[in-house]
Amino acid sequence: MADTKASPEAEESQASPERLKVTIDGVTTEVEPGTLLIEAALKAGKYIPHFCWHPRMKPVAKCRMCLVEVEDQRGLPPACTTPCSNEMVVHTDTPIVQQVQESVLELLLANHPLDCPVCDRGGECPLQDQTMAYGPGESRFVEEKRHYEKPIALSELVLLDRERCILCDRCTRFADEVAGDPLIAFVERGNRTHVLTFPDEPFRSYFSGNTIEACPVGALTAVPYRFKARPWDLEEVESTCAQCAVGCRVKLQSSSSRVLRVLGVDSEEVNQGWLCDKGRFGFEYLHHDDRLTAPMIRIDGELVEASWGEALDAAADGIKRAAKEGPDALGFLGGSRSTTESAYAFSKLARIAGTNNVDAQLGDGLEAAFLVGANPRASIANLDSAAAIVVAGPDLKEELPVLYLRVKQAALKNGVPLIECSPMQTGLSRYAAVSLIHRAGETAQLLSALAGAAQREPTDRPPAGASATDFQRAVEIISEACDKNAVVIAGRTGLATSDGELGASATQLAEAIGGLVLPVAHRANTMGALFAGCAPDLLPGGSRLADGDGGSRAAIEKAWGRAVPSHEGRDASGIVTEAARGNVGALVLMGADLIDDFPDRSLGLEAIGRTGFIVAIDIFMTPTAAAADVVFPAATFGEQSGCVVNIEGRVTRQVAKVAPPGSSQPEWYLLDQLTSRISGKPARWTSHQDVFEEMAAAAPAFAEVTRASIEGAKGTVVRASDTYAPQEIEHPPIATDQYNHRVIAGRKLYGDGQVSGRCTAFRRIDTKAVARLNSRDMSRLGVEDGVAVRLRGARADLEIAVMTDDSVPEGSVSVPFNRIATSSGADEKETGESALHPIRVADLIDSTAAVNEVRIETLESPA
Amino acid sequence: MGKFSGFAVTLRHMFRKPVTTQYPKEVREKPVRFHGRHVLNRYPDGMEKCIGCELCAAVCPAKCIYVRGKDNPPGNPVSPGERYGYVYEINLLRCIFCGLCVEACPTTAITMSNMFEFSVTDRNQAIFTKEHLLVGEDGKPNRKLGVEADVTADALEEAGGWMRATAPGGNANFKEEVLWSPEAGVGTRLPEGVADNHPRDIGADTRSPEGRVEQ
Amino acid sequence: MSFSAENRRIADRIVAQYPQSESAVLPLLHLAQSQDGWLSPDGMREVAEILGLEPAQVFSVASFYTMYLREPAGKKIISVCNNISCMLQGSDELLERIEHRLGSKCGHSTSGGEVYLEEVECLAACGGAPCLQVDGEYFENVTIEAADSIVDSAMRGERPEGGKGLPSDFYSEPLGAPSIPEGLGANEGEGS
Repeated sequence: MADTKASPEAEESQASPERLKVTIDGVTTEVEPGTLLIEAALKAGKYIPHFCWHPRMKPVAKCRMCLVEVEDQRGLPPACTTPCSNEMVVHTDTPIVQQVQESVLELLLANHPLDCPVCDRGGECPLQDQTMAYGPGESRFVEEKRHYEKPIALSELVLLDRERCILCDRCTRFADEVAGDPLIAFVERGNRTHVLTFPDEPFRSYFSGNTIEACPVGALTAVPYRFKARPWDLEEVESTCAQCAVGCRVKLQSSSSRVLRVLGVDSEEVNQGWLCDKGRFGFEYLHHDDRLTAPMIRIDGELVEASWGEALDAAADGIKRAAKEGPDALGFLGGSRSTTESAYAFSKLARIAGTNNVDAQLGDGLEAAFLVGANPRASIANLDSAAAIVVAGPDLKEELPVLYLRVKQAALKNGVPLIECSPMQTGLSRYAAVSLIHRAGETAQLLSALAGAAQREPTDRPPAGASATDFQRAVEIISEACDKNAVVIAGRTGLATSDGELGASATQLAEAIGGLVLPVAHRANTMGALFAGCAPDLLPGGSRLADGDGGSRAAIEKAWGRAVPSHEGRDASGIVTEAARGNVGALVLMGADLIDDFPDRSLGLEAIGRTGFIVAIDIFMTPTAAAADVVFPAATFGEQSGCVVNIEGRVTRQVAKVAPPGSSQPEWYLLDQLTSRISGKPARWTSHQDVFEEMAAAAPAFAEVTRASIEGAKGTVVRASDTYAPQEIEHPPIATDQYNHRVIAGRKLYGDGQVSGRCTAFRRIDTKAVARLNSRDMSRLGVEDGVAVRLRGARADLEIAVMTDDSVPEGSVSVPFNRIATSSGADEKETGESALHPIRVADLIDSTAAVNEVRIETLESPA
Repeated sequence: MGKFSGFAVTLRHMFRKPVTTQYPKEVREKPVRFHGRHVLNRYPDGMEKCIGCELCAAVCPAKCIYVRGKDNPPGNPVSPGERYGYVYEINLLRCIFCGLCVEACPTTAITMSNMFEFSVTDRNQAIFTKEHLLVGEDGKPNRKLGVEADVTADALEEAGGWMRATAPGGNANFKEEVLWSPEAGVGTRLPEGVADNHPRDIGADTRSPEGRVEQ
Repeated sequence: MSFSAENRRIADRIVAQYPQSESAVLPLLHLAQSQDGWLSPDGMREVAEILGLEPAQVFSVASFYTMYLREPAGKKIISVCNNISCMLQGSDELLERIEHRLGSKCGHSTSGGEVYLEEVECLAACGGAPCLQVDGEYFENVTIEAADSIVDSAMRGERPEGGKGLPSDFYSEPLGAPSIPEGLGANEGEGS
């Protein structure tokens, strides 16, 4: 379906009024030209058994299960590769078809081991089901079956049992066509054909888990799910993944109140059925022993367990005490990891406590007003038919993998020209028509220059060190795509650069070419939290706080029974900078870790150290929570229901499936209790639906969003009340020191943060941090791969192993933000702080600077 | 008929030998298809037959069985193949002794013995775990529960015969040599490598085509 | 392994002949095999790198064809046809004789690694049955005596007498393309 609808040719033929009439088993149906027989049959309500055909992949007719009888045609054509023609009459259940189906199944089972009782797929296996439905019942094969070593590990996450494989080509096609990582292939031939990787090169694809779901037998199984349960044990709910801001639809399956498996749901709008491995396998942290189970308060310097009443009283007292010193003595950070309801409660608490110093992003995103109000905003599905795509943001493959798949599909399958503006080559580079590699931190200048060039403003030289020929080529592409719905994807390119004007420049470019903007954020519900008002300049619904006495402000004040503070609030960087100066009396952190998850670690540590009172709402005892005065255990993904908002502004539901550990509560509940203790009014909410209703009443933007409309995979797209209109953009000049290397600090898919570090599945994956350098820089430094060097940054020194990588341009160094950098030559003298917290890349970064540069020094070789 | 005719039956029975047996001093012989409490069997080499497939739990109409499988430790496997029954629990208060679990079991790991005396003093004791259910290396059921201590060794010799009543594949003409010892727990398996015309115990090795019964 | 400078030049020329570089997988694999005497994993990696493919894709192709040796073999390869014409003309006895002479079985190399003996399907030389190949060079109407002398020179590492000449289209190049430079065949790699 995707095949035919997506391609331009198919669209043309769609336009023609001609429709084909096909009769399948006596049912006549009308289909588009180009529709495959198997799809037409599904439309007519006839199921044709199949193994190799997959609606999202090219048909190959390998399994021969879908053979059907077509009148006036010789032989039995496979329904999965036969396009419909007019007046076609098809039979799917004549004696001859049945006989063929029996034979095909008998042959498929000739080598299939029938270890169904042991197999993880047993009970939900298409081969099992179809053998029961269409099989011969008895096999004539008495010979020994072929044998292979039982399961071999294709990667850290996927096991392969070649005995069970029926060679349908689904996994290999997926790896090649969809994921673009053809790391598995058929090897040998004839009876010995099997699927394998290259020797000693594991199937390290970020999308490897999809092959398990696509496998029609139990040949591919998941390491984390191996023998954990059988299909009939599992209960499931449909929910939205909480690993990144794409918001893929998932099925969450649990048994005995433990989440055991996550499967993808085919949502045309968002993920088309695919998931990244982090989304699929990154749930084990839910049941980790380290989960917080009870509230804690600090007594005599020690955090001790307390009752909820005591902890809530202590937190409310601390906040009230600090609030007496004015709005800037308070700081509220976080909210982007929880549901929109909880974020709304957080934003409300901040405003009730009297401050606008609230931010859901931890200084690692773009302007909140741009993220919620980007205009005209693109949807993910717009990418399929865009005239061009400009990507100016993080490495989508590492941070938003399923969006990467969609962009890749648009470029590769639909031929959409892709322009990549990135400080280094990314996963998308090989599909890009042009890769505008430029100096880190100057992406905004480049976008503005592109916008100018599109409006016939000649540039003598492209800014930011981009190549002139590439720039020229990019200008040609975007000029061609003018007014034809080109999409500009804009996000923070790295954590070592501030990218202050990126949102404005992206909007400028989109305006110049009459295109759309798709802003991207990092954490799962960043958009939801911003829409709920977790930003200093936004109110719930995405209306601008500064716009004064507009309708939305009045509605909110009516709903809250309180005036909304009108001072100019500070964002995360502002709050943390002030806190580091000792000017903040109380910090409330909701799923916000200022030490391990904030771009500027030294500043974060300083802020934590100098703030008098800290409330941490979290699921683990993060280094920040360990320094807090009150700690609340929170329910998280899969444990609390609510809605989330993805990068498009699509509101979908997250559904609770398992019970949270101990007395953990959804954040909105404890925030309501805190609000009530601070405002002196009784707590209002007994369920997340109460929160949702209050939010919908308070924020006009949510008026369209009803509980019924966000049910299901499609959800509802919410639009901010105030759209983003950038002022005149000024790009501050950025000085470059020739002797330094500019830092590119992106996130990797697998890090060792609080959450993914606690997923057993990812532990086996190597997440050691290395600095990547261009080969010319390597030879200039005279170091080889694996050698440790010292990066001298503005904030700290970091010893880290280096690796040659020519995707990093000369003069830059790429370091992974979310991995621990412990080099073999770590200096024992510096243990003071680093013994407590392993050295991270965030130690290097000065978040107040526009760009960060480091000097690279070779270490003296140990004698 | 006189007025005493109504007592005829009563009178007749007064002079008959009573049918009551002096249980528990006298133990009656159980029929071969008696549905007593379950046992989990082993192969003669001591390997457990249960592979943790949970089919028994799936088919159980009373939902009284809880099973969880696990990877066999490669160095010291518990059962043949990849998977073994890591947790096995039966709540005998819920069990209706229908025997569907026995029929569902692909390896004849679970069978029913003729043991029926398992009164308990606490509901929790009625949940039999793998430790209780699994037969010992000698093939004798574990009688750790004090209440079962009175079961005589002879009484155990009677179980196991009934399960062959159901032919694999539902073939009514199926006649298999019962390679099943009358003793509860242990099936007889011919040694590896012996060329034989004997169909093996069906559960002997699920991967081997030789175990199949040809008709 | 990496291609020698000469072979790298040939590889580039082969790649340039195809509109899609992937089409050059087979000839490049032959080239890699001719350099090492067998197709090593490193050789497949090198081919994948040149063509911009994943090694797994090259491995898939290489393992499909029996003419690629994925285990180290002898320096010289004797391939004896076993199909019907040759069989009727006594290829079984021929093979037996060669095995005896070499002192190693079919499918194996001699103990010193001099010669690898294999049985192959039809070599398309039925008119000259029984036939065999030494490193791709055809020998037709092979008698037992001729086989002995072929085996002996192969064991000495020499090119046996009486062959039909070295193959010129070894790399499956399209017609009209520049052929492999004189003398550059499968034999050239044996010294490396």
